[in-house]
Amino acid sequence: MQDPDAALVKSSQIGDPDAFGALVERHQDTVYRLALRMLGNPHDAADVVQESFIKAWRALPSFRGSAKFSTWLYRIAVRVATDRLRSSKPELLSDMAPADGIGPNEPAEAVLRSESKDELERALALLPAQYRVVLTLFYGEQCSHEEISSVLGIPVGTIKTHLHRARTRLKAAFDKLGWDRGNFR
Amino acid sequence: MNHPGNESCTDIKRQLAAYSGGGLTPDQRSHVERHLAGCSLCSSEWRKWQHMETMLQHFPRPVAPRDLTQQILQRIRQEPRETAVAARVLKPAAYRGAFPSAAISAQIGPSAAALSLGLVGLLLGSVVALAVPLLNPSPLQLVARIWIELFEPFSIFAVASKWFIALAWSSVGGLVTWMVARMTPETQRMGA
Repeated sequence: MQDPDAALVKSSQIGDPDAFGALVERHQDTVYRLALRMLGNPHDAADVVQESFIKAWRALPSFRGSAKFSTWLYRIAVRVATDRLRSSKPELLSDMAPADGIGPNEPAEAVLRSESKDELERALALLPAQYRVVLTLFYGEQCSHEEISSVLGIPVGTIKTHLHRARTRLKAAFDKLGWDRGNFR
Repeated sequence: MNHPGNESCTDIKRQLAAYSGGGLTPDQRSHVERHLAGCSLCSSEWRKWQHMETMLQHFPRPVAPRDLTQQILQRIRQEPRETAVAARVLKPAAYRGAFPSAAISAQIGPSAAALSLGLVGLLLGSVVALAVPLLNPSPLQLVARIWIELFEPFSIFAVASKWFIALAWSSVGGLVTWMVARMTPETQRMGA
């Protein structure tokens, strides 16, 4: 399948910053979310986005297109975030800035959705970074097992195992946070 | 609390993660479903799994700060970058990172070729000069004589010493090239 970024990548490879800017616009949110899930801090996540795109720009002439540009970029981002994670203690995700702007005039359903997201954020914060990333790619970015495998450099079978464990750990985190005091009995 | 047959609730609960993720065989699924239909405790647990799965389907998708694009573009505009073709020639280590030996060969290749040509010329000149008496020089002998006079003293020891010096310089060049290749940033070797 043709990489939807192919034309912009080609222009960027010969040094067109505007084409690269379009690639940044297209992928910065995903890179940001990946970094945010790994590091749990919006400022560090923004730094990782910058560093990842700068490294991608420098290395772009070597990109041969055997993988999708997005996969290649996310791989760089995961490495950059991993390096940062090793050099600093990750903060809790509960310290994150609000994910989506839910204003006072938003409908009740949106507010409820926001509460549900907060609940999920708190549970995710209790998971190891590797499980947060797998869940982010699978549920948040709708990546296939194969794409996640390519981004993380882990076999597909291991990705499936990680996802299974991540779901089990997340359920345990919800239990720990006490959601079973709600409407589930 | 109703427990159909001898089925253990603990076993069923263990299977709920796989059941939720679609990882069970049809037989296993129907087995779990039969149990859930008759066990209030396990069906309560299953509702939690369903609720979690629903939340995951609406996974939070925060967005990056809006000024980030401009910051990135500002930075990349500050560093002029060579085109892909020029970059491959100028920085082979960055583009053939998967094969560092090939990158090193590409870097030292032109120097090695020039050095080899020079050494071959020196060797040929020395052999001709040593082998041919120069009493009545033919044009070829004259050329050989001029070559020797210009580039090499008429001594086998001097020739050997030149070979040794050439070898030493070649080693130094190789070492420097290897160090440059080692210092190339890791992400520049991420060619996909």
